[in-house]
Amino acid sequence: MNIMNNIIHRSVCRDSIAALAIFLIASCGKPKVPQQYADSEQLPRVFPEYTGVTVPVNIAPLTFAIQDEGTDFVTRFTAGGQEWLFGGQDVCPAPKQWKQMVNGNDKVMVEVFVGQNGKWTRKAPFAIYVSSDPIDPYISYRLIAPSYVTYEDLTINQRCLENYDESLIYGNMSNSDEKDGQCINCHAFQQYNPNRMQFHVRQWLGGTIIAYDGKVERIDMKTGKTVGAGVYPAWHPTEKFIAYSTNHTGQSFHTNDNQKVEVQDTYSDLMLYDIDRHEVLPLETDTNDLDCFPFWSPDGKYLYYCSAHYEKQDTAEAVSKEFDLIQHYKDVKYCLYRRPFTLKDRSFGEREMVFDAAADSMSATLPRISPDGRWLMFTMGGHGVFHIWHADADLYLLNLQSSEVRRLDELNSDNVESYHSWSSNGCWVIFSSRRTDGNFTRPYIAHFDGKGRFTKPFELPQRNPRYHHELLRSYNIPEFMTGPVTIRPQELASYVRKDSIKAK
Amino acid sequence: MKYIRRFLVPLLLAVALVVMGSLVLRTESEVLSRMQELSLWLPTKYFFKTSTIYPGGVLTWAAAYMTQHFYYPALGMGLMIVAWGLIMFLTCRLFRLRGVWQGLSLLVPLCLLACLVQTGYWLYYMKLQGYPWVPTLGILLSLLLAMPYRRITKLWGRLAYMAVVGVLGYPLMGAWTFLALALFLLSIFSCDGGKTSSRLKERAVEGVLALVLVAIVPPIMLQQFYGQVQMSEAWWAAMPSFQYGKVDLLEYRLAYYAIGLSFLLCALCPVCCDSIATKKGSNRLPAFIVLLLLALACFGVSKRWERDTNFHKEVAMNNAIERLDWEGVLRVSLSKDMGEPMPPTRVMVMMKNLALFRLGRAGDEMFHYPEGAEQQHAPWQVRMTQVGGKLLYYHYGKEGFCYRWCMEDGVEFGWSVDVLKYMTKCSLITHDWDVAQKYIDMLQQTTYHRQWAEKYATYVRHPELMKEDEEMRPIIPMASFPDRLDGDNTLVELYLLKTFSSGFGADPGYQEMTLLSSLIMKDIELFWPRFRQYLNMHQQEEGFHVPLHYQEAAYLYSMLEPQRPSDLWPGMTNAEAAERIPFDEPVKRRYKEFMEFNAQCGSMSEEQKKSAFLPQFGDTFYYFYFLRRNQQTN
Repeated sequence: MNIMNNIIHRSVCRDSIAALAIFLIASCGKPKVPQQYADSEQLPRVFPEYTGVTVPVNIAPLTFAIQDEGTDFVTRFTAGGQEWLFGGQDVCPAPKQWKQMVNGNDKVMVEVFVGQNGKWTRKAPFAIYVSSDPIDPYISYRLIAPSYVTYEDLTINQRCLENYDESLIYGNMSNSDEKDGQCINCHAFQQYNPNRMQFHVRQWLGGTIIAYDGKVERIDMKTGKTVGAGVYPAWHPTEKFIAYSTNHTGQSFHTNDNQKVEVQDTYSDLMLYDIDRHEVLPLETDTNDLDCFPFWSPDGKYLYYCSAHYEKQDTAEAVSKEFDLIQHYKDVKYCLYRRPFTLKDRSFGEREMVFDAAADSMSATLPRISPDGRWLMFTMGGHGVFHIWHADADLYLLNLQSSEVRRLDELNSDNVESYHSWSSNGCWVIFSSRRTDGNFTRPYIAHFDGKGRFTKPFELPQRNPRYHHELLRSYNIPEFMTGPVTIRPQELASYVRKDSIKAK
Repeated sequence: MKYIRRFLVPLLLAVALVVMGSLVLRTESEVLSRMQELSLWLPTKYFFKTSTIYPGGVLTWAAAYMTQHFYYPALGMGLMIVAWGLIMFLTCRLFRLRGVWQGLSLLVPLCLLACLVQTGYWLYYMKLQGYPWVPTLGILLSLLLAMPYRRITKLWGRLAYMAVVGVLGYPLMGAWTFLALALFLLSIFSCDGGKTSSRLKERAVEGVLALVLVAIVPPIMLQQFYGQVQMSEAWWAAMPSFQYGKVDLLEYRLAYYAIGLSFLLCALCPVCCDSIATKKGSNRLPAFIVLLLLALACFGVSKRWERDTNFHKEVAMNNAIERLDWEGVLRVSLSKDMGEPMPPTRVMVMMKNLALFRLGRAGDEMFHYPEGAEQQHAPWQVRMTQVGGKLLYYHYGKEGFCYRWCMEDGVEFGWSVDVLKYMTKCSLITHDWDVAQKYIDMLQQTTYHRQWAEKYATYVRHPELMKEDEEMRPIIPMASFPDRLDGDNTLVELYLLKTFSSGFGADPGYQEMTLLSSLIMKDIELFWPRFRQYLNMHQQEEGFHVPLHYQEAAYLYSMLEPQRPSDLWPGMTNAEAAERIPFDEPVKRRYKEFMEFNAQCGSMSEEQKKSAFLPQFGDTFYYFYFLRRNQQTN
């Protein structure tokens, strides 16, 4: 046994020395494509998975780490008759090189050569397709650890998609300490405009921060007219209104399921907030209807939302509605509805069914309409409203002209797909997925052809391809923006500290 | 003689340092080891970046690097002693301490020792990354920065240097920069020999600049570069916070204030006392002052040293469980060498029960060990979710809840090796392979936990090996139960007892837990069906013997409700069934003795009975049932 150990140890040492020598030699010179190699039919294992994806021409360079076993790696990019070589396991094209690759070319071919024990293998080449449809230059998102009750530092960030620059929009720690903590959530923009933004601050200095063309206010939306303050927002596309759902949300924990937590609304309604008048206008609904996730049609004439009708199943008085819902959480099914909106008197008409998911024993949430008003993308799972914790949640597309619904298999994975948002030109969608590890949400972007088809999505590129593997936070509510938010986080923090305006 | 005189004091100081280190190692090894488990350092750019989003991030990053060496407590403590030695050397140089005055340089390491050993339950609640090393590195850097200051002869040079340190030091060292600025001034004072009057103007300018830097650098920095720090925290960056909820626990700050005072004494004492001594012609005064101050500092350290027996036992039991040293857990539980004897905390009782359960002796010995519900020695409510709860959930097959509290703690108190390990193991047991690999990859980058990570990486590739794993083998079947939505409201013990006592399971381990839990819950209705299931499951086994406490419970319950229809033999009453159960003779005899003694003590209060019965019956279920009541869990 000892002899075996010694042999193994010696061979490991020898290999290590050899690998080190090769590494040193390799790192001294430029990478070269091996002269002799065997072809493999298998695609290389790269992280993030970028094989065959379509990217916008103005996206930051796609970097990836090769995960195939080997000691030496050479990657060749070819486009428009030119080639670029990269050595090492982490393949990180420089922005200048990347621009040369994608500008004027409809695809970039990638070949990965893996060397082991002096022998080289060329993995099956793959393409990165380039779309000339540009993408909005910025996205915003909240970074949050997928915890349940506790939170510490939460940030709403913005990221330039054309490079890797990420900056803070607002961080809760600028107004939190051990005594008084602050949660932040639900950032939203009017028509991708970074100057028209809202987000909520909960607990310490709680309220809704609304920034509109340089004017920033903290609004206390608890009026007594609704079950609480506004939660999930939707800016009217043109007017100074924000529709909200107002929710009583609770969570309970799976004792033996990797979905870990079930987040449920026990009460939820819709309301409209008039920014100029600081006025809350509740929408009258059945108390057994759980309304959530409003979204305006691009013309502002309809408010789409999802709603579940749930009546307490256990009639015993001692059983609370919360407990009853926990016991029957799989019976809560949301359907998609819309209500016509009359601008003149700020009134809503009767609700109309848009998609009856419950009829198929499913639950549809998060309706989002494409900027051309033709398509409605939504998330659907077996039950409930908070699909980010439901592994069966997938993205679906409803053709609003033909009422045809299709599961977006080209976007979906075996794991969670949930929040999604259209780009301002309607050519791209960004959505949340937990496909990488089932627990941490990452943003994925896919191209839309305007006819109901998407290309293979790609994960938000990072300067360090392993960044998302190490990041212990989830991306929450990825939203496109036409530019960066220019109010500095410190400035926003000072507005948060100012007295709030009580909504009427 | 001169030679001896020159080296005697440094030698004595070196000896003092070694003594300090040895003392810490002797009493706090388990705590030091836990400190590193509850911290994390990764050699990645991202880790560095996340550390440096707050002022003083470089210091805390370096401190986290040093903290990991407590994996081998002797190595970690050795490095710390070297750093303290360096601090003493630099202190002597900075303040030109000579002869017996060099003894004053020991004051700062004594303060640092107090900072370290006062930790107690902050071990689980401290949010500052690398906090065991932060003060040591903060002082070391401050001293290093102060060394060149007094050598700069021109005023403008000193001012420029001070401004540069004040501005650049803040992002690197946070509030420790202020110490560096204070040391600049003190070193100049000491250099002047206290005669500042000759350069009063210069000193005033330096003092004013230092104050201005302290006043304006933090807010400006926050306004320009740090969007994630509250203004009131600006002057405390990279300092540990001893605030728990609304309560600010000032007593923990004393050791930190004492550091500043120590430097002040190092600067002032030689200057002031030497002039007095020269006037009076006495050369004993310095020695007297040094010894007095050191004695006071030692007294302070001893007052701040967290010696709580239960705290140390909890940590040691936890570490023993991590090593799967179940006998070790029991040894610690009974140990009388870890300080003043006191009733155990609930988490200690639960860890002891877990050890007995793993050893298959819970039914026979559960009540042979100290029982109690002592509150943890901390000025706030210590919760089991932070102390021991995750470990208990993991070993009892409640992987979802273990994972949940790891995530909650990681978010609130910072990621640590400990939570990453538990999240890995939980994810493996629940077949959440991808996320397990994520945590394994992180742990593989640590200095001391690579081997651990490699072992568990094998399980991702070969899950079948988990069934052979000594630790996981008994957990896997216990973790196989139907899912439902639930919540523990942070009450780990109650949750475990309730879920197990109301559960039924075919796995022998799980089944025995249901029986044990119904026993602890003293729930007769739940006990009988689980006792019956236990008998059915095991009575055919060769050499089967019903464990003592199960017999005691069955006998007691039969006696308490003799006319109740038996759960064991349909058609019989409990009294009739009891006749047919082959109870051990001592079980029946001790019950009889218990009841007779009870009759003799009829007039005693319950509290009096508790003490009176304890020596004779403390190890029986009878005592537990009648006299251990209303034990509060946390």
